[in-house]
Amino acid sequence: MSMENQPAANFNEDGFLKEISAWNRGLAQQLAADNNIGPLTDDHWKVIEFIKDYYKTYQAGPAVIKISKATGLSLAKICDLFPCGVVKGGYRLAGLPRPPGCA
Amino acid sequence: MVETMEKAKAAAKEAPLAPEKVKETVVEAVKAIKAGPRALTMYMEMCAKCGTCAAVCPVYYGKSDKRYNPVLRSDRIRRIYKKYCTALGKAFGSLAGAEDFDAADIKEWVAEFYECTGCRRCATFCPFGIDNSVITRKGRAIIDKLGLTPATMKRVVDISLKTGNTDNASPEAFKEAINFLKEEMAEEHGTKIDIPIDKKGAEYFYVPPSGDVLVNPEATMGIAKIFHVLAMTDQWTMSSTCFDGANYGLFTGNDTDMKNENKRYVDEAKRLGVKTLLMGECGHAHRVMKMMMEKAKWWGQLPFEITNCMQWTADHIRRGRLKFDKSKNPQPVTYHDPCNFARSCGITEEPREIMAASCADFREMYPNRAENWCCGGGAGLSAMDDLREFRMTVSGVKKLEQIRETGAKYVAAACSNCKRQLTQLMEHYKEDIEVGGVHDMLSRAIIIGGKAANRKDYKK
Repeated sequence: MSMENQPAANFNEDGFLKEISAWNRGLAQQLAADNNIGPLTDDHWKVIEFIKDYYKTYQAGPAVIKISKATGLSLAKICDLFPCGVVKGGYRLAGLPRPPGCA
Repeated sequence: MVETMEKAKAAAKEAPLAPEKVKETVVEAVKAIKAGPRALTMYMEMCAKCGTCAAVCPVYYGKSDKRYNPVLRSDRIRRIYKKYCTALGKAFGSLAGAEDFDAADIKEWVAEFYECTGCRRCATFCPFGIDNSVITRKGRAIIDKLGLTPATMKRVVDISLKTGNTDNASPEAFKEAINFLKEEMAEEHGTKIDIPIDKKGAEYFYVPPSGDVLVNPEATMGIAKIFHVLAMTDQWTMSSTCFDGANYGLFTGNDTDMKNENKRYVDEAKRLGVKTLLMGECGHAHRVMKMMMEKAKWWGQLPFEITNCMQWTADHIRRGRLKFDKSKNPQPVTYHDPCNFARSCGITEEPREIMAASCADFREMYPNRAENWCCGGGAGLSAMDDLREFRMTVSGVKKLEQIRETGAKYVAAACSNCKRQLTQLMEHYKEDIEVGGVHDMLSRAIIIGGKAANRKDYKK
């Protein structure tokens, strides 16, 4: 993983952002490149923005079917957008911390 | 200023303990085994080094490397035990398999004790019944005492102790997720199906597994639908502060953490005044409650019973109270026995009864039930992203083979830990196989008001 443009201190050991307040679009772009996601399309941004806003309200990430419903994108489409999974891909790009448990 | 303090804290955390201190801690902890539970002292003294455990171990199967051999891992502790606690070891030293601890080995200790999935398959086949998972847990307890528990694991315990759940989720997030499930169910069935929250005096208190409400919500809908069909919606509740039965203190070997994590749930059940604690599809959460807390009477006599939702559901199916439309689940499905349910709690038939009742094409994988192979992510490894490569290419190899052989397109695991590992396995090996729970399939097929869910196929 190359994080040369960003201080490594911003990320925890799984490569997730430590603080969502540090998030910006450029950072999401870079995380996408580092994780072989993208190039980021409008659909990507729809998912990322939804996850980020949901997290700001509830301090937790939304369920995948909730994302599907809110964005109008099918689960298959979301899987295509984030091949490594919604948590590893979507949550990460939206600046969320990884849910630490089994989920 | 804050930054300097944080740096100092981080430095202190990284600073290696003095070797003498490490040795003293390890040796004292190993010596204490002698006065502890008899099972563990027997495991220390009885191993005949026959190697049966290695032959049945999912990790050793994945890669026949010496370091993955359960005997050799357990011998790290056994050798020290023999040196300090047995007459033969004291007299004959290495001739009797005794050896002193070398503080330089501690890094390997940490790595190796987090390469055992604690699945207890070895204990099933060992001629002496030696349970290497108990020795692994002791090794991890010593590591935890030294403050060397891997960060990815320690973090889960800390968050769980702080928030009461391993997802770091608030009561508001939980309630929002529940509201969403209610909307979903109303759409699926055209009728209101409630999920009561924080209802005192309810008969049942349902505790879902880690992440189920937030990330994999179908099982919770399944439970709600059953209560609805039985006209018992007013008799159950969930809790907005206790919605994740996971207990990572079991995995780090720290008994105090394990009991503290558990106590919150027992207290909540008492506060709600329920008669039955209905545990969800989480193997280790159920095991800690039923086989450890209740049996060892951590908190004395309990005013409630503990049962698993799969046992409860299967009982209602046997009595003919639930009806299903199997055509809703036409694809071949299989069931992965989570080690904690099958080997450690004897819950093997109930999930099969639920799957067989709600799916058209149920297939077994072999071997199964108590002889089942571990998913490769047990004992908390599944939550450790730093071990992903190991889980994919070593510990999960056998499980992948087993699942492939069934030809199933859906594999159910009644355990979030297994689900996470299996989902990642399918991703890693590009298998088009869905991973989910048991009640998820029930939720898709259960008949309410004459028909099963008009479920939106999110896949298309």
